[in-house]
Amino acid sequence: MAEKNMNEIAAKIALMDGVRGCAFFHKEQGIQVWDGDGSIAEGTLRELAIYLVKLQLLGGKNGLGIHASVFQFNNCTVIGVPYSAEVMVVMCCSEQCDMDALIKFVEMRRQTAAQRKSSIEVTQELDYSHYKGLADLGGDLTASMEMIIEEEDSEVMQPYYDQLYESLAELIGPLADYVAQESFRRWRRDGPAIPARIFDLVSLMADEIEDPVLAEEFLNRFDKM
Amino acid sequence: MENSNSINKKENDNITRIIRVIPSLAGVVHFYIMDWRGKIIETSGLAPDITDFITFTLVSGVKMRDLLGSRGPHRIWYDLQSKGKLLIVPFGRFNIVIFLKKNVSVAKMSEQLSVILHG
Repeated sequence: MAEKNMNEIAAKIALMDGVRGCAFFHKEQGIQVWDGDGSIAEGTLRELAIYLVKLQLLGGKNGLGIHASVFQFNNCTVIGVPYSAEVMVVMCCSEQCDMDALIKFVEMRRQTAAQRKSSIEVTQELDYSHYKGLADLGGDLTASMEMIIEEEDSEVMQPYYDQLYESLAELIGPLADYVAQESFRRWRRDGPAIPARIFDLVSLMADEIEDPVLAEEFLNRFDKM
Repeated sequence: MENSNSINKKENDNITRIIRVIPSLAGVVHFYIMDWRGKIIETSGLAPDITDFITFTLVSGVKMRDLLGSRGPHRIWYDLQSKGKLLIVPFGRFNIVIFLKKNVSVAKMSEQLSVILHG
């Protein structure tokens, strides 16, 4: 699952304007996934990532918690953003890239991954068998929490999410991540993740789009859903 | 004969000008002027000692440049968890290092520094 997420994120980053290459680098296992236009070799991304990870560690020792590192050269910019305690995302871009948007994109994905990880850990850690009289109920609770997590990952729902996200990204660019996350959170709070409720999600997303013309365009794309 | 690694009069004038102007720039929290060996030439009061980190950053920047076949680095900056930014601008044989408030644009600050240095 983690590698699949990294692959998806790397592919999305690689498609952004000005991005030449992108890699997820694990500080012990090396490059996990990488993508790009072919102008930057995997080995180069690995070497760059090693410097960025060392700087991250040294910064920490000097009391500098680093959210992002940016090295600007005459013909390219190297950006490093921690994805987790072990993984660094390294990106190599040309002048046209929107650095702030790239950094924000990775940070939001990191937060989503951390939330997902913590909710799965909670489910796995729940053990009601020691609590007299609650064992059965506990079993049910664990099962329903697992069901919710499975629902979110459901193969049935994923094509809907992908379609919505792609349209959103096409219409509003890098803000799509934020809008998608906010809308999804509110949608899930109000009910189960099932195809019958998908138009509620479309409406929530449209409400978050500031430009009324773009919001209308977004609604039109999905009105037959 | 002048040592090629020592700071010449023109650079010295630049440093003097920078030291005079930097504290008045909006958004500057602390600053350091360091020579090419990582030795501090001037610093604002109470600035934390991060010279090893800056030196390693500059060395890493040079290694990255060689890997990429580029020139520079012209500018290095860090987004910090404290919400501020740390900007490093190598300039000839000295480096300008500034802690910035979170809402300060790195591009704008670099532009201001360039105007001060180049007139």
